Amino acid sequence: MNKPLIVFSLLAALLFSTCWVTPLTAQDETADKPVKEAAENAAEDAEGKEVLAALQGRMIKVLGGKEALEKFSNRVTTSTVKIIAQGMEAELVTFLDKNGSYRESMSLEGFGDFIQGISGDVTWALDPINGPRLVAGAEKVQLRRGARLHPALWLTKDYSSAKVIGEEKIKDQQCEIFDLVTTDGKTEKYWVSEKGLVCKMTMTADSQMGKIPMVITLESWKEIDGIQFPEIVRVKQALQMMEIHLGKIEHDVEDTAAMTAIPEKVQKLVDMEKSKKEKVLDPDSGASKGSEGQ
Amino acid sequence: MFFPEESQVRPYRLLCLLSALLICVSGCMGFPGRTPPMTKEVRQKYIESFDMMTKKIEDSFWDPELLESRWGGLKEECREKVLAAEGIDEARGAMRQLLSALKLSHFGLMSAAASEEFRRGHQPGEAGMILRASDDDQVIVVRVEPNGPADIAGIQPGDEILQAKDLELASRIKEWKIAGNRYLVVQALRSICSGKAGASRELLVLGESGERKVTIILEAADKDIPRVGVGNISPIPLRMEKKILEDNILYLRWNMFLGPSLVMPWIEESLSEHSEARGLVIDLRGNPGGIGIMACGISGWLIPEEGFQLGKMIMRDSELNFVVNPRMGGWVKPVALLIDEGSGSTSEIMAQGLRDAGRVRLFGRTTAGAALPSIIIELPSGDMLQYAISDYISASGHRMEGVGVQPDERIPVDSALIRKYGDPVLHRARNWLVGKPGGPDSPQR
Repeated sequence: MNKPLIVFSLLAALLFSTCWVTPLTAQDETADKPVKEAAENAAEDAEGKEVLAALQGRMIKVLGGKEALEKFSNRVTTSTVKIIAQGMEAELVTFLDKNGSYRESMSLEGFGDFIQGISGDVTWALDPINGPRLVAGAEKVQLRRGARLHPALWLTKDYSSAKVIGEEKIKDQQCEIFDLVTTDGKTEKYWVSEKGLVCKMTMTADSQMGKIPMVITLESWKEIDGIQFPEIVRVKQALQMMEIHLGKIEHDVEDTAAMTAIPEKVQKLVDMEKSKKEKVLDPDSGASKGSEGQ
Repeated sequence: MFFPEESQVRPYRLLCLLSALLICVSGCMGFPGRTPPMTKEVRQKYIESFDMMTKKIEDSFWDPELLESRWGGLKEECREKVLAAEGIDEARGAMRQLLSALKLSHFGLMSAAASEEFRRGHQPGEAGMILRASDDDQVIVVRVEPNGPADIAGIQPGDEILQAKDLELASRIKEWKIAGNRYLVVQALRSICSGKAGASRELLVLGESGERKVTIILEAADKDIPRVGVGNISPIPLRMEKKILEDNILYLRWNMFLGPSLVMPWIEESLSEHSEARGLVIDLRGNPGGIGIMACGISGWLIPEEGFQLGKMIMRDSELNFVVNPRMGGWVKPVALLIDEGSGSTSEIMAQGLRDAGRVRLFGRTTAGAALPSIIIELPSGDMLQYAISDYISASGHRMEGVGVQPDERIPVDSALIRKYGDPVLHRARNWLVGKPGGPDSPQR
């Protein structure tokens, strides 16, 4: 059983509990309401999954087909991030592979390299201002979900349902607006063209600094190695507008050791955390005795 | 978050960080510019600039009701003034009038000529001294750079500047103080000590041996001093000062929160190299701020535990926390932080945030009270607009804008104290770090 199924099982168990408990306190005339609600929810749930599966099918097809998406084992993308209004530019290099390894590095002149990555079980960030950090909680979940080599192939695993909530024209393209619910219950909005390309998205990014609303638009799709990529991605945050211009894409890069390794400063943190955990687990340590007492 | 196939990037966290990096919290606008004629094309550019300025501010201002109450009909009135302006200065004047009606820091307009000079690497001249106003409106020299123009001209810490260019200063200070803005006085006094390299300053100085006239020739900063900027902030000299004081106290001072690739490793190395020191003094006096998030990064070396934040930016539709990421092997011994009316923005964020965390004791005087996160953009006219994009409150809920950060121990600007102790604020901080009672010049602390 994979993780999303466990989540659905838990959800189902919760619904059962509600059905058992509520009648004890509810008035007679509403006694069957929770049962109806559960039935409606289950129907909606099934419909949401169908919509999601259909959307995934459309996306995979327009992006180049399943075979094309599964053809490569890794990808290195080089892009330029521009904040035109403020005269800023940075180089962005992203590595992704089939095994879930991920590393993204943004180089800013006068600042240094801002890096984040996933190396095995460790999700980490390292920058010249805040130093090394192990990413945890909702931020980690979101980062791992975002770090798929072929996200469209994961759509039905990373999201629990989809629902069409309206239509809108985005730059001459008629789009359906979807509400997509992630497996951890967050709703993201997608504007999807008739062909199946995503034109716009809105979501809230989980970051160490808090929740940050974002509006993302994707333009000028072009085919590289049989797969469609947007050449320009515009990201509007509460604060400002940024543009990501696609530079170069390389597939099946052979030497990936540097891309998958954990930086030394991060490794020190990992070792420290490990040592902390070992201390707690050590039956001879005071910490363990204290917790036994509780 | 799902970045749709194959949108090549999942950089939202990095973008958030980049965005935060560009939020500068310094108050440094208002440079003089030339006054070119107002042609039809130029007028059009200024109308576009006016409209862009008002739209940017209206779109981002965190309290629309406050904005409406401060601007009201003035916006249209100022637009009419721009339309009717006979010269560029007049157009800029109308724009500045609207900005100043907000009665907030970090709303300013820099002329295209001034920003162009900065972009070309124009190096302003400096006198090599810092002036501050005393409680009774005397202008006192509080710091003299060794071998700088002021030092060479024989100016000593504790001297009083009575006149600059035949202007009597005490009455001016009184006027500026009435305006209620501590930072205005700091900027005015800074303008006495800076200008075009090679320009002279005629000063009437009152020293221990009486009055004397002194001429100072302003000098450009040493070429070896690194220049740092960010985005639309043009490179300016970055000064980092480290010394070991009596009683084995480590002293660190940097003049701006810019140049993280230089400042951050320098701090890390300094703390590591002098880990045996008994205490640490961080001197943020005269530091007008810079990149806000650097306050978090530096605080990471001073706060060893997770879960602390310095404060938060409150925007119209979201909040951004200034979270501290603790560093391994950080500094755990006592920290004294020095502040004064020239400490603005990021300096205030760091000072108040570290005090909220119970990590520092503050010495000196109340800070500028100019602590709004802002960004700087170029307008169609070529002028640069700095505008605040959010409110800011510290972790304890303290709002510093217009109020500043109060020191735990106030040391006034006083000639006698400066002559006796050299730097009375530092002297008292050092005493506290090593557990010596008293100091400049209170009988008890």
